[in-house]
Amino acid sequence: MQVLELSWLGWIAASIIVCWALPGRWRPWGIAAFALAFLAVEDPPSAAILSVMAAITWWSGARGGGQRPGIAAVVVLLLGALAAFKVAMAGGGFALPLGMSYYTFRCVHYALERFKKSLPPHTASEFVAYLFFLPTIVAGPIHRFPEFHRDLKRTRLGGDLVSEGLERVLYGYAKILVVSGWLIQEQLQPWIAGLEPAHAWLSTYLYMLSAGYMGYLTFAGYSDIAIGASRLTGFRVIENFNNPFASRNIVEFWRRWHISLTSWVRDYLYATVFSLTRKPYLAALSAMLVIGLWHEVTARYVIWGLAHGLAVAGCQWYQRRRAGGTAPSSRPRAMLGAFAGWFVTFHFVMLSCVFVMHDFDRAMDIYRTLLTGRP
Amino acid sequence: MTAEAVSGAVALLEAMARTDPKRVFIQGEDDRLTYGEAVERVARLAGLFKRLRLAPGARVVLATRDDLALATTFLALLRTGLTAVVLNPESRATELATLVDAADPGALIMDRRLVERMLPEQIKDLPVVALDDTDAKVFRKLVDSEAVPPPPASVNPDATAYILFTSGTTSRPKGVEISQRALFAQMATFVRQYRFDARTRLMNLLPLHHTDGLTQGVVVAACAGATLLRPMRIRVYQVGEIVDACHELRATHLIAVPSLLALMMSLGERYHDALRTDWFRFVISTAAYLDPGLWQRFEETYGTQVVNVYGLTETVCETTYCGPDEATRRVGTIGKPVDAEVRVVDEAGQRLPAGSEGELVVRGAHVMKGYFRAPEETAQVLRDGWFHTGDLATEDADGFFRIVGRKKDVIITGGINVYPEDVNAVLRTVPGIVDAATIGLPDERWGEVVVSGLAVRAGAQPTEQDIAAHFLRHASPEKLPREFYFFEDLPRGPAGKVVKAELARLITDRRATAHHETHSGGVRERVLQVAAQAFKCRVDEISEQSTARTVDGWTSLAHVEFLMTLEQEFGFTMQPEDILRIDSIGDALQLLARQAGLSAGDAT
Repeated sequence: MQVLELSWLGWIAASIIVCWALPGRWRPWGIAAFALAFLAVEDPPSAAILSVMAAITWWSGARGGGQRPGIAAVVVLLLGALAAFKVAMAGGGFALPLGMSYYTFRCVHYALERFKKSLPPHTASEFVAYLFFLPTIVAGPIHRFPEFHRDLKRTRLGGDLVSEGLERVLYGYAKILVVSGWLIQEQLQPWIAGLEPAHAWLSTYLYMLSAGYMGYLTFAGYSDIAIGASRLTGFRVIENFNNPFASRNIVEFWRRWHISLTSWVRDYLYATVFSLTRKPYLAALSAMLVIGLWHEVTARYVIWGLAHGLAVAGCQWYQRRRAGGTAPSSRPRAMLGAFAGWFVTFHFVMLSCVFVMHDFDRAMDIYRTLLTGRP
Repeated sequence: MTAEAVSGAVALLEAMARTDPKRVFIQGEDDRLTYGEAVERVARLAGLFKRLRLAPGARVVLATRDDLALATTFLALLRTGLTAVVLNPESRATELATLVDAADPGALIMDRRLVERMLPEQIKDLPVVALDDTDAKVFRKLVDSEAVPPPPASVNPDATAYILFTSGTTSRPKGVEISQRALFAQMATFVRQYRFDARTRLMNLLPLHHTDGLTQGVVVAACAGATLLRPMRIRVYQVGEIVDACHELRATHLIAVPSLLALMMSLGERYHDALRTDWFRFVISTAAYLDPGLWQRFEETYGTQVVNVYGLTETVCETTYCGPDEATRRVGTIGKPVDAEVRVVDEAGQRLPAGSEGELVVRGAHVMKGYFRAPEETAQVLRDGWFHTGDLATEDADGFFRIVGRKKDVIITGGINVYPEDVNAVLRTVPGIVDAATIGLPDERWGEVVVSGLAVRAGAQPTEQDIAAHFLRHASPEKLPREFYFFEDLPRGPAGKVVKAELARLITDRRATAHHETHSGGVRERVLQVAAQAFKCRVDEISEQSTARTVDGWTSLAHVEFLMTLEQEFGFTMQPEDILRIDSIGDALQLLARQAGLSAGDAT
């Protein structure tokens, strides 16, 4: 991943210095120029594709603004391009353009909000700076235009900003390199593997947890680096994780995990499906399916998405049913209920991770061992 | 360095002409006006007035949503010695007819939609200049076609500069007549006390038909050679944008009513550094009582000083100032008088010793000439050179004044004065309503809220929607009561007069048992309750600005429940597009306002 390479750090450092050195009106262009230059050097086709998508998105707002068929066509075009690349990638034909998953969703967000006339007045340079923003271009988060625009207008360089930014970047690298890479992968997992064959169930169970945590820490680390680098450039982008493994139900989990993606899906997909069908469970199922496909257009992510969709719909059904009921009569009972909720949620998430983090046969082996205790 | 005081209208225009013509005088929503343009248009407008044969002393009714047109025309009227009668551009037909009739003007300059609300017999043979508030070019073209006559060499300082009506919907309106001398005396005080100069960038979004927007905005900015910032209209759900605009447009001062400060306190942490800049100097809180708790919290949160000022339309604008200098500053008070004498007196008009409660009276060059064509009302408040404010106050040993109550019958809600009798007069015309009594009840955010008790004819069942719709046909939205309470008869004393204290008690009881009837104004509270229930949080934890990103319990399901409960509660079905547009509680309020056929500002 580029974020871990020294060259990326060099790009980021140079971009931060130049951005602050430029006069206010040139800053947006400076931000965009650095990101575009980075893409052009690292992956020229990505730079070209993303530039075309930016042009289409801007054009849709400038020319098609207010026209429903026009905006629908642009959204279909943008999402269709992403889907096409994902399908091709799944077939081994193409590599996905760098950052396209995040970038496309930012374009759709911008196009729809502009259609809704909810964006603040802004210039083309500000729009381009939003889309071509180096700290978030590779690994998200899917930040939103109004917040970005607001920071572009008002952030000033100061000691707080620098210390906050550096701190987050360091946290990010520590999560990825120290905790996930060294501690879990190099120290813990060999020790877990050593428990086999005498303790096959325990070894598999601990391996499942360690792999889940590694995935979380790595992704959260990327987000920390993006958030920290954004801060150093003067922007406060959306937090992507909020202690997701402490969730007591699956709905709560999805409010704490990859927040920028789930909030995008809630605002633009869940709400759309619900508004058209008035069926909240169908909306939940569709939303989770799309989250699955956003990761990868493969059967395993379809199944993973549907499983989470059913779990979210079930949880919502239970919550609605319980809404008129009474609260637990005693504190121990309430604590027990909370623990049970956490236990089920945590294990559901971990078990579902197994399915998408390994190939099908390996995943089945893990499930079998966990069910039977046999290696 | 503070700008030099200008002595009158002639000196004002001369000073404006000396200012850099490219400097922005007013930054509006979509347009801006430079000093050069303003001076030229003022000169050309004199040509229009001449063509309309308006002689000095004639009154011109001015009512438009176009801030730049209003500001330019107002200054032109000042310069030519004519009297501006500035009316609410949201006035309904009944109000408009009453106020135009009372003003007895020589010409009408108003938005076309207002002209269309008037009957031909109300306009008679008055010259009418119709503006288009949606197209600023109409005004510009109109002005640019005028010849520039030589301006009058001088303007009588005792001429009436403007009249602002403080009450009057269907009954006797009360117009405050302010002389040029009083206006410019007040401007000199403002410029000196606030230390305004050409670098001042004054954010003042208050309406221009109120003195706080007009004199403490347009006129003072012109007097100081400053820039007035009016980039948007005040909307409750756009408070964050107002704060951002202060930062983006490098405002040096923000003039606000306490309700706006309370709303700013509901904004998230991200906004709290907006005024902590090298250029921002202080906030001026005007038009209503500023709660000391809010005052201190605001100063701590936003890291800036709040200058609390006190005054009335009858004293141009302000009389006492609590800050910005330390000598006049004591939190919880209205500070000390500047360029004015202020006393606390008893019923006989005798000055009371420190600590005693009595009526606040004011004397100074900035006091009004009187109420327009209302000698009796004028005599009641202007006695022996002292203006009796109707506010109850105390003065402490150090000379700081504190407002403790009110003698007069007025409700101050969000900085707007609402006279109960104006509201009652309209409510009594609603079919099925026998009598109405309106009171103000304390409210954390708005200072007071307007609520009305209605005596309903037996068998009649007027709905709140019907009443609100009827009301808005005859009176401006700012007067619309937030809540209605229905009674067989209103509580009355032996002489048959409504006992307001008893009415307030009955209404408070009904509110407490939550069986009250509400309509559009109460919509906010109901929506917040629905939201709090859906999102499993307390009502005081959410506001118009709340979104899924700021409220923990705002899950997708909770969002759906919120919308579905709103549909049930308000009896309508949302269209798919409506559902997609609701991202915040403010969006929901806007939608409901549209449903009720009101503007968003009305409902919020």
